[in-house]
Amino acid sequence: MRHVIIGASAAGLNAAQTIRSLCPTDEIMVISSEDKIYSRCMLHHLVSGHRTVDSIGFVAPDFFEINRIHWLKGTTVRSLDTAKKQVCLSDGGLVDYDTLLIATGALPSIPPIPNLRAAKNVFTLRELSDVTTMDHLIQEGVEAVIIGGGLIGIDAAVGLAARGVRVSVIEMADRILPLQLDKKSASRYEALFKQHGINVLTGKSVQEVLINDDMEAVGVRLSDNQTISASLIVVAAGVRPNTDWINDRAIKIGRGIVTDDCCRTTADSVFAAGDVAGKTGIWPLAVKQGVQAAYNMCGQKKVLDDNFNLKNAINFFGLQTISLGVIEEPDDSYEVDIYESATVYKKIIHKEGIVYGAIFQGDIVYSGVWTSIIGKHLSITRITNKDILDIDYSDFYKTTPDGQFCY
Amino acid sequence: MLNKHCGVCPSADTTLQGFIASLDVETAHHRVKNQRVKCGFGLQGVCCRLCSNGPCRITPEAPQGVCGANADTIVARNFLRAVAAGAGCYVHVLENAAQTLKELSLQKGKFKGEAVLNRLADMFGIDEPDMHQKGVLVATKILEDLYKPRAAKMELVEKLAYKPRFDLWKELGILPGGAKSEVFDGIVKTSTNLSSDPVNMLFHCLTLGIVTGLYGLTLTNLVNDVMLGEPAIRIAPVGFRVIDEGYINIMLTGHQHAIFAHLQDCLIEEGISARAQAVGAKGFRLIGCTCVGQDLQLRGTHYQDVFAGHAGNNFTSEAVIATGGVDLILSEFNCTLPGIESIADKMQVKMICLDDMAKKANADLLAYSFKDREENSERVICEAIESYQQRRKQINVCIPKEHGHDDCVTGLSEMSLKGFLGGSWQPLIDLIVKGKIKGLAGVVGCSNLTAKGHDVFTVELTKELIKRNILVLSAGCSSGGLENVGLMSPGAAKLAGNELREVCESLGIPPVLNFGPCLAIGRLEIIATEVAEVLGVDLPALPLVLSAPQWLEEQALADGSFGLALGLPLHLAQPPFMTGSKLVADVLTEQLLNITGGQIIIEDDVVKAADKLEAIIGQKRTALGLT
Amino acid sequence: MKRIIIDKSLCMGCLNCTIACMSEHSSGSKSIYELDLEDAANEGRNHITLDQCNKPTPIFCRHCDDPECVTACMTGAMTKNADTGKVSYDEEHCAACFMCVMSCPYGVLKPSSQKDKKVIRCDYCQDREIPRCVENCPTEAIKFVEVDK
Repeated sequence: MRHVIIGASAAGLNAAQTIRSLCPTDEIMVISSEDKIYSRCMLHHLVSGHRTVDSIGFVAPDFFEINRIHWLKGTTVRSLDTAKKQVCLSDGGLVDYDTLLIATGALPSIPPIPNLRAAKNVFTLRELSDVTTMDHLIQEGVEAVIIGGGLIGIDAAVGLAARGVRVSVIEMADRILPLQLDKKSASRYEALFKQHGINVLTGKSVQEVLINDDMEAVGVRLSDNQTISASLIVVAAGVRPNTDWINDRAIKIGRGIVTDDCCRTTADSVFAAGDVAGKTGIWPLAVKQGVQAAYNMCGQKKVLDDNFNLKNAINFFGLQTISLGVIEEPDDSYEVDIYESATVYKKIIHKEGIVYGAIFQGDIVYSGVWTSIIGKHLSITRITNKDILDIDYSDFYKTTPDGQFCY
Repeated sequence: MLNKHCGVCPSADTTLQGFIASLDVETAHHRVKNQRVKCGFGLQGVCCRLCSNGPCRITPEAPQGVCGANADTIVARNFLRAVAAGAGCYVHVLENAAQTLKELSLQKGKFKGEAVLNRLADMFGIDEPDMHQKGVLVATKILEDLYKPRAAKMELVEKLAYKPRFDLWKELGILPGGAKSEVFDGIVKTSTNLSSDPVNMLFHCLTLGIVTGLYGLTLTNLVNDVMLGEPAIRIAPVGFRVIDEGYINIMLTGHQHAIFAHLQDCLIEEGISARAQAVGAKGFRLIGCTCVGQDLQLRGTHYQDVFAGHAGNNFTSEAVIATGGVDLILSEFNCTLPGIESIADKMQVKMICLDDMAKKANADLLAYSFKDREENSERVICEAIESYQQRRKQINVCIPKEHGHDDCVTGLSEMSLKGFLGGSWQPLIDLIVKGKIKGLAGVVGCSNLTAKGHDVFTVELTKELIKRNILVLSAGCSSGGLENVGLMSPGAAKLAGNELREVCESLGIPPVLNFGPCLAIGRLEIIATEVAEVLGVDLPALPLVLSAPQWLEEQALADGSFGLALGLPLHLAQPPFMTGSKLVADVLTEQLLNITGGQIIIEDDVVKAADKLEAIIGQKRTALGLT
Repeated sequence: MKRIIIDKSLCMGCLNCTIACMSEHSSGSKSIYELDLEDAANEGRNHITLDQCNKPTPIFCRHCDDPECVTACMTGAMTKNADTGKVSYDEEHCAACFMCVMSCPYGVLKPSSQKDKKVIRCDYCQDREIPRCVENCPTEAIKFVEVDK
């Protein structure tokens, strides 16, 4: 059997490794457009100069040898033929497959802002080449604008600020990280960012990129008519599944590639996992989907039982936050328990014994249990003798015969 | 619906809790959280650190320490050592009080409670017409007893104790020798490889209980009454509202009212206010906090102009200082929490220690001595003035004036209550016989932070008891908690059951009576004795129960031992580090019933505790032929 | 592989395991006498907490068969050794994103309180035959036992 995997990130490589552990003799091929293996979530550490590309790898250097996986690097896929079960590469080569896993991730969305596409010195932060290309523009005192105050935008801001760049983050919502943080927890980061030379402008959008005669961006005009000068612009306004290259009609595409609960696409023997399937958005789920797809590709039915993806861990300038589930109470019928001190902010949203969301900032010690409580919809009604903020795994304590914990 | 969490342990006094949560200093209430996982061996009393082969702990694999001590020995040793230390505390307090009385008498000083001196002299069989000489003789008699060797039984025990009790103690062989020797030997006995007889050690605890009760508690009150005046019932404000930042405020912590006699008198002298006014204050005020504050409150009628009131119990002391309104702290005994040191530093409050028993690291030691009292009182006043001047410009004062109540009924004693009832206990007895008052409960002792929170168990239990028409008499830091939540104000009558409510409303009293400091447990014993005498029964027959729900410290265990020696049922919410020994637990909770009549009842559920105490009162009523 | 098996009913909350762990991982001497109990840099990898009945409960890393911390790790700093079953942590490679802290279903992990460290995680005491905590439990509430993988 030959298993072909397109994409060498979280889903792709975990799938490859899993297939090898399940099928010792099958052939496995990974095709990826880049020639290095690295964690995209760590790119901002390259921007800041804190790390090199070798130190943001997420598998061992001898991963492919140890697992006997054939890595076709620096190769893009030109087209797919699911009827023939064949992949056509950019150099014209053809690869037949018995099973195919599409794990090509997501691409940055470019909003339709005038001059944004055309201007030079406008970048996204998705690939190594983005970082290397923008590097010559990064110097102390340079002004940069980041469009979008979500996770990637903030990562970029912090990375650039570390090199002395004067950064302005423009975010449409009334706060940065609007999907992960509420106003209070966001404000603590906004204050820290200000101290570190990152200017945050919320409740505003970029209306136009200002360019000079050489098509270089020199700044942006905002919705309140303010102009911010910049010689470097990073677009971090969201991502969309990387499916444009797929021309085979047998593969149904919705928000991302449409998959069932076994990671199968609508095409026979074709699977999809990770951001390209549009369901995940975070690393651990991409890994799990890759593993799940691998089992199904090897003929073992495996259904993913943990789809909880509203979870994020954030750490900037020494302030750590974990955000789980819903971050604002949908209405008054929900109870909100809050603890606040000078350095810590904790909020738990619950109703009738079910916890729907939580934000822990400044103290995330042992907080992983809440990911289970919220993700698995565990009831806390019977925990009557404890303050809700003191709930921990001891109240759910259960062991399996071989001594593992469970719920 | 929004629930704000404040990160401090709960308090029955929610105003206080809110205030503490708002502080930017750390208090005991904050520290409870990080200390919440307790060592199980310690909790059970089965950890022994007496020798270098240890520390040993009893476990199923190791049922004996290296020396061969089993759980019973280890627990009993730990328990006796604690009771000895606690008894020692009370003996120290009496020793200082008696010494002061002696010196005052020799100096022909003024007695504010001459009637008490006469009663004591009668009781001791001292016939002497001259009051001062009488004082010398009474004090000397007490001191002589305290200093006797262990083999010489203390003489005053027979004079102070209720006869049936005395006879029983004699029969049991637990009459105490010299108080200090009993304490001393309690420490020696519990050292390495000495006693390993748990029953002998427990009986020694009973002896120390008698020492604590008759001497440390009863006599200390009476000696103080002689010098400082008898308690008189009055309405007084309590809580943080008593702190008026317009005055130079001196906070007191400890148990030794006698030590403050001279200072108090100085502060009510003509012209003293002028010294305060010269620096912009209205005058001087003493702020009570801890048992000595309760004592000042009891006798407040004699010092109305200078005693501001009792702000709260031991676990409010850090918050009191954090208000910024205190200019000087005088410490002489417990509870003087180490936690006040950093707060006093931050608030720039001067600290002076009058008895090195309660020395704080950052306090000046100005050891109390009768001989130097003039000089020392003057020094205190000067330090207070200077501290006021230095600190008020720099420190913000923020006193939660809404905290506390203005109408706390205080000043109850064995004499003042009897006086209130017309000069005899008959009215009270009648009410009990008729069932209007089902019985009496002494809710006494300390405050702690772990039995459901600060004073939480105490307040909840008290409410349950009065609901069941049981009149509550309180003494100790528990009083501080009860008064600050309003249970000692007349309005609290409406929380009582119908019959008790009727009694209280008709008499204009609250259903919880404030006897003041934990020393006043001795006053409760006098009342019990006098009522028992009228009825012609021994103490265990009375419909009387005791609870020290949030007992804190070794002194509480010594008090408890007195209660057991008296044959009374004593409820505790948390076990006193003794459950690791089946024998010790059995003796204290079961066997003692047949020995002294006393019993420890451990119950950490409020309603169940109230049920049990009510049931016991019911049994006693039935045995007396009451319905 | 061997795993620390817990018998919750035997735990007395004495915290001997916690201080043994601190001592074993302290940068200086491993003598229990020299453990500076006032230094916040000393952190135990496992912890004891109280359930709602106030029963002390050991929350110890299970070196799970399918560890969420490994799945969540974006730099590959957390890895599970297929042969020994141990989950290892490469602190240098770690980017302190704390996804692992968030993902551990049992709340075993925490960030370090020290600036120069990242995540505090149990390593079953690399250089010892028996983890130090197990050796120091006076009631044998924790034991190091061979389990089927």
